[in-house]
Amino acid sequence: MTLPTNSIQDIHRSVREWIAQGLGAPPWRVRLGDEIPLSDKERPVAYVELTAPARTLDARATAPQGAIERLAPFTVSAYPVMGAEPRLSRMEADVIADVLGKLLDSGVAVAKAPASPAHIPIFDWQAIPLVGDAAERKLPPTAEPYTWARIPLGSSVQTIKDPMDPKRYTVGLVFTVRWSAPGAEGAIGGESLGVAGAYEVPTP
Amino acid sequence: MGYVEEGDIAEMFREEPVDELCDRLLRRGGDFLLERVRYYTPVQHVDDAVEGLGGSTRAPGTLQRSWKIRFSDDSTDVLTLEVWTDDPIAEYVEWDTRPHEIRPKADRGEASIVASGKPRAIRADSTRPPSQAELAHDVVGKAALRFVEDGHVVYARVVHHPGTRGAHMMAKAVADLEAEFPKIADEEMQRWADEENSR
Repeated sequence: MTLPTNSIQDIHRSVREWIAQGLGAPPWRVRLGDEIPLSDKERPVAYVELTAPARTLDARATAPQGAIERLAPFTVSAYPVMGAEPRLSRMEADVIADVLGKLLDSGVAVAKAPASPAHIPIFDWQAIPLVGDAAERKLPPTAEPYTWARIPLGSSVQTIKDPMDPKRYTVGLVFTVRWSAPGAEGAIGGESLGVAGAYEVPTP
Repeated sequence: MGYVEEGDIAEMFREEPVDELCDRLLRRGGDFLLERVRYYTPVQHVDDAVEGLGGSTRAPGTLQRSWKIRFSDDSTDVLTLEVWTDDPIAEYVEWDTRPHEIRPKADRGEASIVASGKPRAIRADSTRPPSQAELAHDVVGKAALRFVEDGHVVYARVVHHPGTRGAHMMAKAVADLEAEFPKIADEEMQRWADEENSR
């Protein structure tokens, strides 16, 4: 059995799945930031982008021996449906901004992982293709997270009006994710994070 | 046997040095954040030839220079810092923009001129009645976009803009601060402790 490695791909795709569940997909289509952009007519759509390369920090004192702490900033750009008039578009954008804010406050259940405030369940995506049929790319509903990432600091939600079309809005969300990973030499005890089915719901 | 004393810990030592330390930590963090936001803010490099064509109405680096910082005043117990700008283009540089069409707008003089130097065109659906000069040149509904590409002035009736990737300068800077703050704080606390000991 191959143990999950807390890879950045797992983190990125798990964050994407978390945002998708929070926004409600469908009708929302939530994509990774480096996927081919959809046209503006295909709203509602959102992109989850790894804003900067993940970096390694000193581990927290409570982390397993040899574990490292990693940090990565994420940006979500959500493009809600356009209303028939600017006022309706603004209202829709405000609703989405509220949904994203509450998502960080309360969390959302993903597959078998329950909702937990400011925590994102991390799944093993190794066997799930990035491209191809939509059904094949989906996380199985029975999937269980092998660890959790934290959002330790505050986040920023912003509603942006298009300067040339008052009916087009973007809702932006910025947050930083932290997680523990086995160190380069392999963490003593860190492997236990990878045992399928064994996870603990984090407390906020 | 034990001894229990309840009380406010602040009464056991002078608060001023601790307040000063908190203030110093905030300012060090703020200075670092401001420096990183400026570092990540893209600067448009416009060469002289293009500038001569009127390709840009903004001086390069305007956004980068516009970032400012403010700290919470002494009237509150909560320490806050804010890096901010009042430059209206900031949010469109920070965030992605979607693929979109750009069309000339009626009554926008700078962007809606025609190559021939004829009077600025107005859109057919404009509520403003065309002037005699506009009627004479038959420019109603023929407004054009003007922009500079590869050193040449280009006119177009419509531009299919592919969208842009956001620079996410604020997001990157905040992540830098989050990663580096323990180190910054350690240094500042050491300096503060040394200064306190030498007093």
